[in-house]
Amino acid sequence: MKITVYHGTSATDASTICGGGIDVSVGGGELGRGFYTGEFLHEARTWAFHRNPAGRPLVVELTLEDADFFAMDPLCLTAAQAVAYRNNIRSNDSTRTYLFDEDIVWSQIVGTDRIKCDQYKWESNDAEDFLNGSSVSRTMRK
Amino acid sequence: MRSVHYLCRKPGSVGELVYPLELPDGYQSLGSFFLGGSDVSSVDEVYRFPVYLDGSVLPSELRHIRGAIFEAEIQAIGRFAFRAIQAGMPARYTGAYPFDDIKLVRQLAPRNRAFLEEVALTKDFMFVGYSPRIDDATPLPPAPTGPAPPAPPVAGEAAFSRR
Repeated sequence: MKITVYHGTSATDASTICGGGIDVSVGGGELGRGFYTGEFLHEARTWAFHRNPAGRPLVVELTLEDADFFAMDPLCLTAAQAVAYRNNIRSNDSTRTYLFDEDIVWSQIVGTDRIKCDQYKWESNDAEDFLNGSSVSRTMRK
Repeated sequence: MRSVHYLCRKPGSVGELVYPLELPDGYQSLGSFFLGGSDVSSVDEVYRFPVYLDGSVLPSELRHIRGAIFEAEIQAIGRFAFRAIQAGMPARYTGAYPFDDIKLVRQLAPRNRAFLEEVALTKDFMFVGYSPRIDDATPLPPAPTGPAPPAPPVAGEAAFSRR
């Protein structure tokens, strides 16, 4: 069985990502350093639209075998854990540096517990190699 | 008429929101739709709620139905209900753009996220809300298609994710 995750971005970066150029060491977010993907296309597209002032909003669709995903033993955070980590990372100003020392962190997006949406933070070199490898389909969606 | 704003949490701060364009490069943080006001009990009957359809930004309206329930009807797409829930903590816009609302008091939660996802997948439709990006929302060029050749590594900018 395959699962699909989405990453909203600019046209330039979408080309790079589709070409196997994901670099987990460059991006950051509420759970620290890594490459973030989410479960919903509409969320990724809305983000991409507002984030990129010129051009059509682009989303990279990554399709992978869920067996491969679970084989990487993702760290699953509860909502309460995600909030605690987010608060700690924020107070330490480490949104661009914090690592869990895991391949993947699977968590609800923090913000409000009444708007639920999952995110996946890919943070290790092994995760990067996996995302850039031949077993993951990386395609652009307009 | 007020607008539904699309805002993100500002990195390293509590209760501060900015537009996505104001986030640092490479920072990935999905936003949410917010309603402004002076307190949580004050909601307007109608808000501007821009949508994106087939490469263009179009106007639409979010109408108050009752209580915390709002609805937007988009011709040829469908009817979408949202709950306007109280923001988790008092939030303010702290970016550099002109901003009239004192506080962001409510966040929109879709009643049927599966329908939003379906129309994104099949009809090139999504709600976008307002950010300064809207002011530059002329019709957009065709999207590139297919995988690209290998290129240098790049920051994982933007999110799916967030949303």
